[in-house]
Amino acid sequence: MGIYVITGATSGIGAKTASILKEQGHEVVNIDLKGGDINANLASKEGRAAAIDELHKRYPDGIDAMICNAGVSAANGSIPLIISLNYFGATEMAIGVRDLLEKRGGNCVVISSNTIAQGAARMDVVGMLNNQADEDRILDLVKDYDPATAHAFYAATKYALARWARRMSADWGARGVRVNAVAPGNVRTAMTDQLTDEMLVAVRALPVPTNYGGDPLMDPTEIANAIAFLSSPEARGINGVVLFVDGGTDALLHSEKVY
Amino acid sequence: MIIQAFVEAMQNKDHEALAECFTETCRLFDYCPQLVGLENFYTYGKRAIDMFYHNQFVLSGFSMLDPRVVDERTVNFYADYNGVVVHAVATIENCNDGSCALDNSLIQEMVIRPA
Repeated sequence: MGIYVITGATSGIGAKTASILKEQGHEVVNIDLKGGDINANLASKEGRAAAIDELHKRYPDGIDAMICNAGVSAANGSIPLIISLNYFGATEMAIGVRDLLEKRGGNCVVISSNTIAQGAARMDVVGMLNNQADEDRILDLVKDYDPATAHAFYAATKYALARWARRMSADWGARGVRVNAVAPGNVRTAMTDQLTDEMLVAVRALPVPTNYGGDPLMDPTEIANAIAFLSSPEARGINGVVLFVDGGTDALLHSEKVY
Repeated sequence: MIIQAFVEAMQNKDHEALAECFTETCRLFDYCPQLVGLENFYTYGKRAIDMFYHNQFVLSGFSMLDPRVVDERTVNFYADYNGVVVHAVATIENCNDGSCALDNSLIQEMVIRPA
């Protein structure tokens, strides 16, 4: 069976994904701030470097999947943390273990968000993340921004993550490593437990054609199943895809966008 | 007239009343958003209009300003896309009864274009 590394798998979508993968018989390595198999602060360069080193020590013959799930919501209010953890905590971890993925013909799944379909992302920040990727410089730029604008930065990190996956998929794919993204809708997790009343109004205004079966929030299992599938050998033909698991919100808002 | 009901729903930001102006299989195309750097809106079906404009009114800051009904098929207005305004004309291309003037007329196809 495979070796699946997943960040932020102590709770929420990550924990459910880890549970599904374990049930399938895989070895799962949870990297988290605490409570993980490897404890590391992925919002810091030092934490990421330590986690990457540890993975190389434990699995010199490679890994089958790197699932970059760790992240914080806009409700967290810390724009620097949103940028460092959501974007660099994903891309730098994936880049850091690409050699391990190549050894076993593995794949990478990053977790975006269907907020990228809402048009709320700061596209200037998206450009900085994807094109400069200079973490220190971006953090210096945003350090004085109003935390009330965190949602636009959250959406920016998730948009940039999806685009990063698309950009990397060709080169990495040619090296035998698939790269895909999952863009969830509203999910019941520790992150959504933090939502203020004002944010809940916004959540309810998000159009969800399927209405999630009558529940305003999806169960993490629904997202975890998509992640587990994309990271499995059954999805070997899928590369460079942003899979919206959102009850059809993206299709409603962008019905003409075929690709 | 259905055009008046459409205007009232838009001004009240009442997505449910707005959807009630349309047939089940309607189409609503808005070609103004590209002028403010957004994707144009293409919405298919009454329930999609309900959801789409719920989102537009609450999250995306869309408003209809200063509407002037020209006739039973046309309204001239300012479309406010979250603070950026476009002078627009909404035209009913088709109604379920062909007239658009009856009490129970419903919009089958509407196109919003820059004025």
